[in-house]
Parts: sequence; C-alpha cells; structure tokens
Amino acid sequence: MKLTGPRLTAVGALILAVLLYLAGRTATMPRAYLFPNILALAMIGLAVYTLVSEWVRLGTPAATLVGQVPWGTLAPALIILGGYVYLLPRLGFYTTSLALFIILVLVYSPPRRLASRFLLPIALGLIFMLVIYGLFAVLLHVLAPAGLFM
Amino acid sequence: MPFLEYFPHLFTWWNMALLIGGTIGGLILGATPGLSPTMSVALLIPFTFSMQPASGLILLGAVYTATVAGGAVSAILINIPGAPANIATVFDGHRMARNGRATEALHYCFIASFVGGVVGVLLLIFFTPVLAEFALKFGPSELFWVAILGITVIGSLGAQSTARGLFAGAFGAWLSTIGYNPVLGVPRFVFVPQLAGGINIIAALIGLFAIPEVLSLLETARDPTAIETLGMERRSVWSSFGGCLRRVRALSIGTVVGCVVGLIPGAGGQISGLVAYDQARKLSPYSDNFGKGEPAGVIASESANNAMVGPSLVPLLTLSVPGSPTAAVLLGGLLIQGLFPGPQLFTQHAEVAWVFIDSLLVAQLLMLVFGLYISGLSRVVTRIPKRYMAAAVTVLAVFGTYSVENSFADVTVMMALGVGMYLFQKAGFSAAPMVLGIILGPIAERNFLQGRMIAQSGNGTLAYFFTGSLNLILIGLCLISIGYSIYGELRSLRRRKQQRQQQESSP
Repeated sequence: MKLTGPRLTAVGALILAVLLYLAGRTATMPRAYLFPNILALAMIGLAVYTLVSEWVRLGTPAATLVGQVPWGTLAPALIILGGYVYLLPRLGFYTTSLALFIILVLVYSPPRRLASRFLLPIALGLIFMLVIYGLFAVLLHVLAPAGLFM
Repeated sequence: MPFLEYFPHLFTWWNMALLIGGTIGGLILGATPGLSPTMSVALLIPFTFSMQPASGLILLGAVYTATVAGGAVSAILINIPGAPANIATVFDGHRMARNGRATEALHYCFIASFVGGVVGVLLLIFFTPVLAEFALKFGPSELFWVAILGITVIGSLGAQSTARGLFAGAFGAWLSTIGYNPVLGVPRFVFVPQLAGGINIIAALIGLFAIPEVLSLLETARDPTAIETLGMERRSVWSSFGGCLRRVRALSIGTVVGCVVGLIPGAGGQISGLVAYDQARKLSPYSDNFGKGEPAGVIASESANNAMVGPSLVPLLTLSVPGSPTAAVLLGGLLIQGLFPGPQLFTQHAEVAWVFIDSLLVAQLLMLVFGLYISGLSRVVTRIPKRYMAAAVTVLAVFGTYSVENSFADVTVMMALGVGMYLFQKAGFSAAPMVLGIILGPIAERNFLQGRMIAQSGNGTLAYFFTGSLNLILIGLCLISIGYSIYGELRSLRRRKQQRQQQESSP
C-alpha cells in the first residue's frame, strides 16, 4: 500500500493525537488533565477513522484533499516573518513594521524599473504606518514596545 | 408604553452626534482585524466617564451594534473575520467576493444585520421579564450541552470531511486547555513561557485566518499572470433588499438562532453566527452551494450575530448577568455611571434605561445606512495588489493581536498558529472548526468541571447532566445535529458517486 498525501496526513494526525494524549497522561496530577485527555482520545478515534477510510477508499484522487506547499516561493516570506517577530520588541513595533512592509513588497514585486520599484513601497509604507500609529497609539492609546527606535 | 414615551429624549443634537460617531467609528473598528466588539466597547468606556449616563450608554450601544456588523467587511473582502462573531460570514461572503459579487455580499450583510438587530432589540423591549427567567435556567449542565451543541456544528464547517472538521475542532479545544486548569489552578502544557497565559481567542482568530491568507496571497504575488482581483459590481440597494427577502428562510433562521443564543449567559454571540449558518445550510434545498458563495450563508450568519445584541442585554439589564463578553464590559460601563442593573433600573433610572434601549433601535438603522454607504467605498480595498495586501494584513494582525492584552507572547503565539494553520490547510483541514474549538473548549471544560462538583454533592454525574427538560432538549438538538450532518455527508457522497458513474458511462 502506498502512503499517498491524504494517508500521510491521516498518519500525521494520528501521531499528533497520540503525542497529545501522552503529554496529558504522563503529567503529574492527572485530575487536572481529565478534559484534555478526553479530547486527545477523541482525536485518536477520529484520526484512526480517517486513516481507515483513506485506506479503504483506494482510487480516490489524492490531489483533491492535499495541496502542495510552494516552499521555494514562500521561503523568503517565512524568513521575513520569523525575523519580523524576532526584531519587533528589539527595534520597536513601528520601525520593524515599516521595514517589514517595504521588504515584503520589494521581495514579492514583479521585476521592473529600479526607481518605481523602491519609491512606491517606501511612500505607501510610511503612509500606512502613519495610519496605524494614528489608530493604535493616538486613538486607542495602545503602548507598543519602543525597542531601540520606535 | 415606556419605550415610546422616552423616545423623544433620544433626539438631542449631542445624543445624535454620539450615535452617528459611534456607528461610523464602530464600523471602522469592527472592520479592523483584532478589534473585536468587546475590545472596542472596553476602549471607549474611559471616554464616557465625563458624560451623562444616558449619553455614555448611547455611545457604547452604538459601538457595540456597529462593530458586530463591521466585522463582516474584512471577512468578505480580505477573508479575515473582524471578530469571532463573523467567522461564518467568511465561508460564503469571501467566496461571493471572489466570484465578483462583493457588493452584493456586503449589501446582504448589512440588510440581514439590520433585520436581525431590530428583531433582537424588539425582543429586549417587549419580552425582557419573561426572557430573564428563561436565561436564569442555564446552569453548568445546560451550558455544557450548549457548548457540545456548538461543537456538533463543527463537522460541517468548511472542512472537506466531517471527520477532519471534528478533528480540527477537537484540536482547537485541546489548544484551549493550555494554561491553567480553571478549577484546580494547575499549569498544563506550558512548554514555553509564551504559553503561560494560555491561548488568547483573538490572537488565535487572527493567526488562524490572517497568516494563512497572507501566505496564500504571496504564493502568486510575483506572478503577473496570476492576477486575481475581487469583483465589486455595481448593484442597486433595492435589488439587494429583494434578494434578502427572497431568502426569508435563512433570514428567519439567523434571527431566531441569534435571539436564543444571545439570551444564554456565557455562551456568547460568538457562536450564534456559526450555529445559524449550520442550521441554514442543513435546512436549505441548495445545501451543496454553501461554502461556494451562497448568499443565504451570509444572510443567516449576519442576521444571527446582530440579533444576539439585544437579547444579550436581557439578563444584563434585569439580573446583572451578562449574555455575552461585550455585555460584560457594558456592565462595567453601567456600574461606573452608578447604575446597578436589576428590576429597579427600570423604575429608579427609567429614562436612562429606556433611552439606551431606544438608541439601540436607532443605531440599527444608522448601521444599515452607513454600512450600505461604505459598501461602495470598499471598492478601494479590492484593487490593492496582493503583495501590498499581504504586508498590510501582517502589520494589522500584529498590532491587532498586541492591542488585546498588550502582550508580545500573544503575537508570537498568533504567528506560530498562523504558519501551522497554513500547513494544516494544505492537508485538508479548515481554520473555522479549530477557532470554534478554541472558543467552546473553555466553556465546555469549565461547566463540565463545575457540573461534576455540583453532581458529586447531589444525585451523581449522570443524573445531573442527563435529566431536566432543558438538558434533554439540548441533548436532543445535539443528536439531531449530528444525525443530520451524517445524513448530509452520505447524501453528498451518493450524489458524487452518481455523477462519477454518469461521467464514466457518457462517451
């Protein structure tokens, strides 16, 4: 039997459910874990049902259930998002968010002339951050961490 | 009738300015991901300190009404519900927008919100004493079954199979148990310090909907041939009124479900839209169209979440028991003004109470007018290139999450959940059941544990949870809901099989 996409998902779901159950079972003071353990058991049951039904339904087109992750396209985005979360409290929410806005737009822009490629994201990023500052800092009095800059 | 007697008191320049300002501000705040009705009302309470009690409550009531409806704008246009109450609007609202019917979806949203909202407020006006008694009948066992009823709708919410939907819902409920046990106070599953406070519902909502959407936008953002803009067609408001009235079944289901769920203290209006959507889908002859851009889905969801606004105030104004999280914040607003909810509120402070209730009725009308107006302005949002939209949504998601509790841990959790959800979606799971699990998990666990403690001092757990007319009705509804879900899936499978056989037999 081949381990196709949907079956792989069902196996992954079963492993996740078992791990969650074990996390609750092995903890001290089991009384506190009653509800999450009931949920984990329900998840195991549902994962087993999904696995069995995927195995029985031979010939079902797998592509309808599982999509492909375009890792090559999304790798820069994931790195940028990771860096964004890391730098937010260090450089300041507003500075880091402006940098994220500009970098994300530049990285995912279709190729074109250098000047128009840079100027528009910077200008729009500044305007957008002014609106965000007005809404959150001025109107709603949200004190975002300032970090090194702002 | 007192509500008519005090109606003229509402029409002062100052009160009308507050109503209009509150409605416009509420629509904008509601459309901003992360700024839920509860948070918007809480943020505005300090502004009401210096106002007359009636004026302060008018502002808070207008904001409450408008934010609930405003949350649908971002749900329809950018696939991110403004608040948990708007989750069900995403399923068909955003699909309608993708099919070139964004204006129609926004029109239906505000018209249905208006109808549901007016019926809900009329219920508050005419049936408050009777309904207050009904609301009091909900103890831990009944609330547990309400949460289970909510969980039974999970299976049909956007997932590609009932089992996957239920798995995602159970996983969401499991995620909600991270943090401290509500009864014993023991920390559970706190693997990293960021999880010590548990998973915030708003952070989860934003992460599970916004970040996968950002990554999906970026998948094709570089490709100039993969341009997909939302269609904002030109459409007369009157034809939308006609379309809404033609779907009177969905409108009625949404309104009735919203009114009933709004009355139940603690259940919150967060699930009214989802329950109404599920019931409208089950009772519709076009149930297969739900999730593909069916207007009845938007109408049921939006009429329900605004219909719960009035009834959620019934237990608050008469018994000091809030029917929704926002009503709980409103209770704070009342107490700050020196007003103590209860039967004496309608005798000692009759003018304040009735002017406030009357203002909710007028706020529904203003919400309709301004909502339909901003439907036209939303055209701007649909023309934003994907990379700009992705960048803007990411920044909004971070600020929206942070502003809930000024917690950076919430931002980290939001981002981690979002990236995880993107991968989960690729494996055929849906965000909606998981969010519903995170919302209902604490309600189910708290009431289950409280119920067990009460039962141990009485006739035992089984007798406590399985006897009593309200318990039996709720259990019956749960069984009907599960049975209908299974029947619907089997019917759908049979139909697909027949279609496949027809395709194979045709040359």
